[in-house]
Amino acid sequence: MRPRRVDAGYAIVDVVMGLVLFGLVIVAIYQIFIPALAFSLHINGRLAAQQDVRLAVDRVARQLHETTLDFGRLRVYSTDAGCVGAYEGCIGFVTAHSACSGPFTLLNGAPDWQATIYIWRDTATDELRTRCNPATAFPATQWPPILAPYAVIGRQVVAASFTLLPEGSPQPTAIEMALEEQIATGPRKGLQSTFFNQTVFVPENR
Amino acid sequence: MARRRERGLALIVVLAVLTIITTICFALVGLMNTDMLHASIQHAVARSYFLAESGLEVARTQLTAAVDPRTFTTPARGVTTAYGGGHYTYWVDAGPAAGCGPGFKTLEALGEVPLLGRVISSRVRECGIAGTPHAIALFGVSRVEFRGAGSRIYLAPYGVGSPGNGASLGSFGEIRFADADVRLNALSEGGVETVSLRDVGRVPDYGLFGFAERPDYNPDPAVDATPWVLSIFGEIVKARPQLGEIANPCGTSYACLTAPYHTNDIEDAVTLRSTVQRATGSAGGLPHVYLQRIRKVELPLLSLNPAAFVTRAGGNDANASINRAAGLPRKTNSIYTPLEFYEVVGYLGTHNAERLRGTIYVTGTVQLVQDLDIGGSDGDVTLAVAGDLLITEDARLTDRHDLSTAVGRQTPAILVFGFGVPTARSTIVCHGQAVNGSGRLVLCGGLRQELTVDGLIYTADGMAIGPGASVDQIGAMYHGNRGTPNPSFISENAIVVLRFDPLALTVFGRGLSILSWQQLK
Repeated sequence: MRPRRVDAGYAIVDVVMGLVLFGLVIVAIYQIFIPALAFSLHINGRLAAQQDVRLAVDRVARQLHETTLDFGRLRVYSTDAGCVGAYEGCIGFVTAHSACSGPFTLLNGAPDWQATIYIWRDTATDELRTRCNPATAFPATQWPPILAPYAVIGRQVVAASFTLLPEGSPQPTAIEMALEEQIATGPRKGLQSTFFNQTVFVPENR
Repeated sequence: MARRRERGLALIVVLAVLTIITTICFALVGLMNTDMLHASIQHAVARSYFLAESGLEVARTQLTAAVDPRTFTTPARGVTTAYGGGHYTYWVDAGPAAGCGPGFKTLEALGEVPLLGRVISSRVRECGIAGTPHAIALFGVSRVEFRGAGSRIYLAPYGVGSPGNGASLGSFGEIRFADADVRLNALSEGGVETVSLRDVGRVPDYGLFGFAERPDYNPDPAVDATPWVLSIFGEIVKARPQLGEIANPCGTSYACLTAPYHTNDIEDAVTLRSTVQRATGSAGGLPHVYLQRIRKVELPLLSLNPAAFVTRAGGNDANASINRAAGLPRKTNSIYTPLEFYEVVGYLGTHNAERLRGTIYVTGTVQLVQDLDIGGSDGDVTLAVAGDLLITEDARLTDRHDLSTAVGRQTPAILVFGFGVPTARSTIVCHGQAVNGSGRLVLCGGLRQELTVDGLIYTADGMAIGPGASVDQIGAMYHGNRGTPNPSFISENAIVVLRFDPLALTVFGRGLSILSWQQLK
């Protein structure tokens, strides 16, 4: 029994020391992993932003491919046309899908335009928004048209623009869409914090 | 003993640390894998889309190169080709390729890319018309000219949905608005104007284009009317032939566009409308020429072979009973001399219930001096003339087809081929029109004169419409030139309502014109 009494308390000291050492090791590991974890988070943020931009582009790609560059059927709104202040990157174009998402409507083999789709960036919320107006197949000449109800197709979008190509041509052949998205985790020194996606679409219908 | 009992404590710590590190590693690898998978899917989606587009392009090429594009189809299983790590399959009027409507070609293509045991696919579809390389409603090889303040020309769509799909006007030579007050697609500019149509009676002209109300005009030619009418109209197509050149007064390689006080080539629609407006000399005048835009293209020269129609008329015995009744007992086919044709016309004039059927070929120049309804509402008659076709003042010619069928819409209406060798000396008829058997269609005019036609009007050496005449056509016009100074098309103080049916152009049997594109998946 005596030897045991001599050893009494060693185990708790060992446990406490073990825990302290374990804590030190964990802190050391954590210190090592902090930059790695932060970097990982940043990478995830970047990928998420990239994915967001891709999804936003995907959402409008089909609509832009299926529209037309016919005079008056597609309008990119300049600041003079009212796309300023609360709005940026404003575009309106027609679709042959009834109510924008229904069947593609044909008349004698040609598209029978059914509705107008508007896309713009809301500068207050950094949202990329879209609106379907099934009442007309003529985009409004001045911005803003009636823009409610709308759907959000991109978040954290810090810049958006649409440009008709070739620039300044009276007969454009393509539309360039440029989106800049800020990653949700915020900027980090030395690392890219915004994403820029520039895509050119060629409307296939005349 | 004590040391022996303490063994293994460090191992626990190490195991715990390893567990944490392993968990973090797995989490990071998992995240990376997810992101890479997303990126791969995006890449596969893009590849499948462009594979489908490749398939569509190949389908177009195959169809265009076919001996007869109108009858070209693929097997129901489609044509599959491996390409770029995936494959595409295309169909033409077979398998899933349907839905463009009777008479129209449906081209469909599927692009497929394998990815991790799955298949990522995209599907696209086009509608087109086979047998013509373009979809231009009124085309003249040489000059197309509009004259007179009383001219009212409407190039409207056949079948009106939402406003749009107006028809185009083109030439290899020149498009000339000879007078300032010529009206082209001027929809009730100053007040409601109506036109008379064979199927719906008298309607406001803006209804031709799908508008329910009269557009609201601004006198500034740079400002479009509301709703924005310009976008619904067709184009002016300044064409040039793929081989050779056709001279024009502007000296340009493509057709030139001219207006009063502006003999140089006009480059854009706003200038054209401003020019026409300035020429009126009235600041408050309205720009009377409404088109969406001006476009330059290279096109092949088209022509029809009269021999094919001689063969068709030779085999057409559907009119044998009329021939007998008209005093031509031995004639079983539908090839007539002008005198025989006049016998038949005289008979039809007194027997309103009887109508001709199918292709009719007249071996000389025809001059119609009385009203003629050649085929009723569904005779699907093609009137082919070897010389010229002259319709004297106030006479009416009706050649309607069964437009409920693709065949009725594709059947040509009037073909004026001209003689192989026209006579050396021309005769002046109507309002100064020179004819010598070169293949001209002349409507002499008069307020009573009406030409009501379904299908294609084709002339080898042009068409002239005199003052007061009315043309009500569902179809298209193609007018050639045989090296004469005759314009390919001239309309003077006449009303022309041409509701463009692209199917009317399929008779040329060459090429493909795409009308729409859609992404199904």
